[in-house]
Amino acid sequence: MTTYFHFFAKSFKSNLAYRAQVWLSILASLLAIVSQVAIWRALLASGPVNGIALPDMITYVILNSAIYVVLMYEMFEEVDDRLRTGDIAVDLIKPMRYPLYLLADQLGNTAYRLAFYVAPTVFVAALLFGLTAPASPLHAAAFVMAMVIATILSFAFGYLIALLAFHFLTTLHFSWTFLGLVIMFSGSFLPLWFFPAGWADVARALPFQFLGFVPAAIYMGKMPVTEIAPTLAVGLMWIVLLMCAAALMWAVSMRRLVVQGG
Amino acid sequence: MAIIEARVLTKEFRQHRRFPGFFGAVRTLLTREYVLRRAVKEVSFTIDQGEAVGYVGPNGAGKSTTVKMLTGILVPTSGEAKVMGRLPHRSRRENARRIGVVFGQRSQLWWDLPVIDSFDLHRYVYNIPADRYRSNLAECEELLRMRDFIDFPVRQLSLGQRMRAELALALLHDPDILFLDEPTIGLDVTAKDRIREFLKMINRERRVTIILASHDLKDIEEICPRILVINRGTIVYDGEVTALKEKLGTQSTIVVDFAHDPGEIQLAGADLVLDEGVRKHYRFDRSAISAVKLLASLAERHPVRDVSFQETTIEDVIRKIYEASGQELAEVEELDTWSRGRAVTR
Repeated sequence: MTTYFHFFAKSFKSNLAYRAQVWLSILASLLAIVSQVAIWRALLASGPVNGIALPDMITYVILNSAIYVVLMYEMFEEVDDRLRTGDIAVDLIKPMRYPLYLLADQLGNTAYRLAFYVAPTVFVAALLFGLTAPASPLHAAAFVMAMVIATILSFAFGYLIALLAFHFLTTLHFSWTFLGLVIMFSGSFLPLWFFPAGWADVARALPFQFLGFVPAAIYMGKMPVTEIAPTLAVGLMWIVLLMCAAALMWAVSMRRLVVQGG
Repeated sequence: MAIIEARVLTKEFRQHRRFPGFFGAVRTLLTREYVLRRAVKEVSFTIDQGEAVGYVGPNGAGKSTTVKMLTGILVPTSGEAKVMGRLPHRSRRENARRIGVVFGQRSQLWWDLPVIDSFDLHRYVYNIPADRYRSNLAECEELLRMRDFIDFPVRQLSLGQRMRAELALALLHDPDILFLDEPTIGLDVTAKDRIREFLKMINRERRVTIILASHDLKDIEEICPRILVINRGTIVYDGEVTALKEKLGTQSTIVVDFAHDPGEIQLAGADLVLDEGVRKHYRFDRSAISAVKLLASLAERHPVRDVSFQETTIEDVIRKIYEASGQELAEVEELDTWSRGRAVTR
C-alpha cells in the first residue's frame, strides 16, 4: 500500500511544477460560476420555481463547480494517450497493479486540485455571491460521503472507458457518449428538480446523478433525511457493479493489448 | 542454467484492412477484411544466466515484439516464452520484479520531477531494502556520473543524461535480466561509449544477463559475445559474434581512388563490389592473392591517387546473412487477407 501512497504523493507534487496553471484554472472556474449565476439570476428573477430560490441555485452552482473539478473520469484521456503512443509499456513492466496505480495517480491530482483550485474558488465565489451553510451536521457528513462516492464512481467510469480503449485503441466515441450522458443526467448544469417527470425518473435510475446532483442536494438539505442512506447505498452499489465489470474487462484486455510503436 | 527460453514463439497482429484514398477510407470503415501480420514467427532460443546477447535486425523485424513478450506485456499468439521458469504474461508482476527494462525511445522517469524522486519512487514500487537501494544508487551515481544532474527535473536533462538515469533506474532493484531496446539511439559517440562501458561492467561484475536489441551493431560488438539475428520475424543466425565474422573468412575490401574515372575495370582475383566512378570498391580473398600484388597490377594500368582497406564489419556479415536467407531487409510479412474468417486471395 505504501507504494501507492507514494504514487499519490508524486502525482500531487508533479502538479506543482506548473504554477501558472493554478491561477488560470481558478479564473476559469470562477468564470464558469459567474456565467451560470447570471443565467439563474435571470431565470429565477420573478421568484422561486418548484420551491428552489436564487440563493439555493447559487449554492448549487458553486458546489457543482467544485464537484466537477474533483471528478476523475477524464483519466481515460491519459490512458488513451499512453496506449496511442505505446508508453503503456512503461507502466506495465512495473510490478504494480495498474488500476491501483491509476487510482493513486488520480487521487494525487484530485487532492492537488482540491487544495489549490477548489478551496480558493469556493472561497472567492462564496464571498462574491454567498454560499449557504450545510443544512445540518448530519447533512454535512452525508455530503462528504456523497463526495467520496462521486470521486470513486467517476474513477470507475474513467477506468471502464480506458479499458475499452485497450480494445479499440481509441476512446473518442465512448467518451463523447459518456460526456453527453454526464452533462445531461448528472444534473450539474440543470438540477433534476427542473426535469420533466419522465426524464427525472430516468435520471434517478442512472448512476450519473451521483456525479453532481446527489452531493449538492444532500448538502442543501433538499433530500429527505430518510432517503439519504438508501441513496448513498445505491451509489455504492454502482461502484461495485462498475468495478466488477472493469475487473472482467481487464482480464480480457490484457490478452488483446497491442503495445504500439517500436 | 537457462534463464530465458523461447519455444516456437509466434506473435500475430490482426488489423482491419485499409484501403488508400478518400473512398478507400470509407471502405476501411465498412470492411470486415483483416490483414494478419506475423511480427514474430516460430522463434526459438535459449539464453543462459550471465550471458550478454545482442538481438539484431532491421526496423520491423520483430525485435521489440519479442522483447515485449519476454517482459510480459504482450501475450504470444502461440508458442511459449519462459523467463526464470515463469510465463511472463501470466505472472507479469512477479516477472517485473526480477527484470529491468530500458526503452531507448520511452522514458520511465517522472518528467516534471527531479531524477532522484523517480529513483525514490522506484524503491517503493520494487520494495528495495534501504541499504541495497543506497549502495546501488551510490554505485550508479558514481559510474554513470549522475551527481551533477540528479536533482534536476527530468525535462531539463540532455538525452545522454536522461539515458544514464534510465539505465540506473532499471538497475536499482538488482534485476537478474536487463532488457535494452535501442538504448543508445540518438546519442553522440562519447555518450554511447560511456553507456557501453557501463553495460559491459554490469554484465561482467554483477552477472546481470543482458538482452540488447539494437540496430547499432557497434553496441552489440562491444557488449555481446553472442548475437541473434532476426529478419522478417525469423531468427536467421544464432551464435557467437566472432564465428559470424569468420563466416566472411579472409575476405577483405580495398577502396581505390583513381586520378580519373577509368570506366568499369575488372581485376583478376577481385570482385568489383561498388563502383562510384573515380572510387571503386573491390572485394578479394587475402589467402588467394596479396593486396600488394593486386595494387601493383592495377597501378600499372591506371594512375591511382589513394588506397584504403576496409575491415570486415559485422554489418557486412549480417548483410550477407540476409542475402543468404534469400530475403530482403523488410518489414514483417503480410500473411493472408481474411474476410469473415475465410481466406481470400489477394
